[in-house]
Parts: sequence; C-alpha cells; structure tokens
Amino acid sequence: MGGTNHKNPFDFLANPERFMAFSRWAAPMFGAIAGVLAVVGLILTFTVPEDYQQGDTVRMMFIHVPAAVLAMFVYLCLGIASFLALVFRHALADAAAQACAPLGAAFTVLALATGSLWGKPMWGTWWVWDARLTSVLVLLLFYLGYLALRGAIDDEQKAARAAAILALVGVINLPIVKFSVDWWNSLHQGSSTLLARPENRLPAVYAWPMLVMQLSYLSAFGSLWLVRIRALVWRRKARSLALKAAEA
Amino acid sequence: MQFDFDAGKYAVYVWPAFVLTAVVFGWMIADSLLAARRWRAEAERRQAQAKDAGQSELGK
Repeated sequence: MGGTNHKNPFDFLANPERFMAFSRWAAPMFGAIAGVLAVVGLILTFTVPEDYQQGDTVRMMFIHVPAAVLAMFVYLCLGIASFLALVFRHALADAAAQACAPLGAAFTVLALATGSLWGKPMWGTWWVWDARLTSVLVLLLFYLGYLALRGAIDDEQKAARAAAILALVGVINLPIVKFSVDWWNSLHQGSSTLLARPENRLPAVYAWPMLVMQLSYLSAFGSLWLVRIRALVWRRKARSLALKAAEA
Repeated sequence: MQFDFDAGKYAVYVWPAFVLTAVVFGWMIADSLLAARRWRAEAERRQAQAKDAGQSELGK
C-alpha cells in the first residue's frame, strides 16, 4: 500500500508509541468537547418544558438514557478489545479492555440508579424484575466479574486471558439488553431515540438535549478511556523497568 | 430561554439523580487522572534510575 506503514486499522493499536503520541492530544480534546457539550446539554435540560405525563422527571431522561447507552457501548468496546487481545495479541488491546471496564461499570451503575430514581415516581416502585432492568443488572455483574477476575489472578497474562473470555461470553447479553423491550412484555418503554419508529420518536424539544448529552457522555468516555490506557502503558513500562533492575 | 430548577414534588428524585451523576463522573475523572499521573511518575522515576545505573556501569 504505497509506502504506508498502516496495513490495517488495528496496526494503530499495536504500536504503543504511536498511540501515546495520538492520545496526548486526543484525550484533552475529547475532554474539552465533552465539557462544552455537557454545559450546552444541561442548559437545554433545564430549559425544556415539563412533559405532560412525566412532569419534571423528564429531565432525568437526559442523564439516564446516555448512561444506559454508554453502559452497552462500553461493553461492546470491551468485547472488541478482548477479542483483539485474545486472538491477535495486539499490544494495546488488552490495556484498552482493562481500561474501559471500570468506566463501563460506572455508567451501568448510573443507568440503574437514575432509572430507579425515575421509576419510583413514575412506576411506583424502585425496582421490578423486568427483562430490561434484569439484563442491565446482568451487564453490571459481567463488568464486576471482569474486574474481579483481573484482580484475583496474580499472573497478568493468565488474568488477561481469563477476563477476555469472560468479556466475550458477556457480549451475548448485549442484544438481550437492547431487544428485551421488544422480545418480552416490559414495564420499560421501547426505544424512542432518533433510530426509533417515527411514531415513537421523542419530540424535537426533548430530542436535542438527549442528543447533546449523549454526545457529551460519548466524548467523556473517549477522553477517559484514552487517559486510562495511557496509565496502563506507563504502568507496564514501570514494571518492565523494575523487572530489568531486579535482574541486573 | 428560561431556566426551570423547580422540580416541585419530584425534586426528591430529580436532584439526587443529578448529584449522583456528578459524583460518579467526578470519581471517573479523578481516578483516571490520578492513575495516569501516578504511573507516569513511577515510569519516569524507574527510567531515571535505569539511566543512572547505566552511567555508573560505564564509569567503572
């Protein structure tokens, strides 16, 4: 390919030096974008009119839905990174998987907690063993299992392999979370975002704050993910130098 | 454009949701930045030690 070193997009992941050069400016850039979008999103959140049914609780949707979408998206990233680490043994793929798990767990906790706070006044209960809620709880358990497994095995390579297999098993849960509201009778409403059927879509007045907050969450994740991968690259470098010093 | 911060009877649910979101984001940002700072400093310290050890080996 015409003198370029990039054979495929994943080569970029395989070179820590190139990644560190890229993430040095990309992480703060995504962080700044997330901050600006969060300010705009919060202004829109507190200026939209109350919903005729949900009243002021509609404002919680603008922090709940993006958290729920990120909970699934981050797990997809975890699954892809785990696959690349397990099969192709890319140098940075395992770090990418390890770095996104705590963030995904945090987004899932946020989705469950804010959903519960919305559910009490609207459904009359904090929690129901409904297909959507239960599958999101299972998603959280997969994140916690991944983190626990990595922490429980001393040999980093064995821990990475075991955790990657667990992460890949958990990918099966993603379509269950997404389509649970279609496959089973659910208290949880179906999709009402831009991709939903026109009759189910949010009105523009609510769609804008939702979109802006969604992009803010996504940028924040992008920034924090890069920062955490950088931390893991430095950690590996520090440990490798410590090992060399001990051998000398 | 008028801000509406009065959530009325739902304030007891709305505000904890926003506070919790702020706390979790605060944790994610602080934990990520502190980990990056800590391991960068550690890697640089180890590298400096390795460099010093290399120089003292050459000086022998």
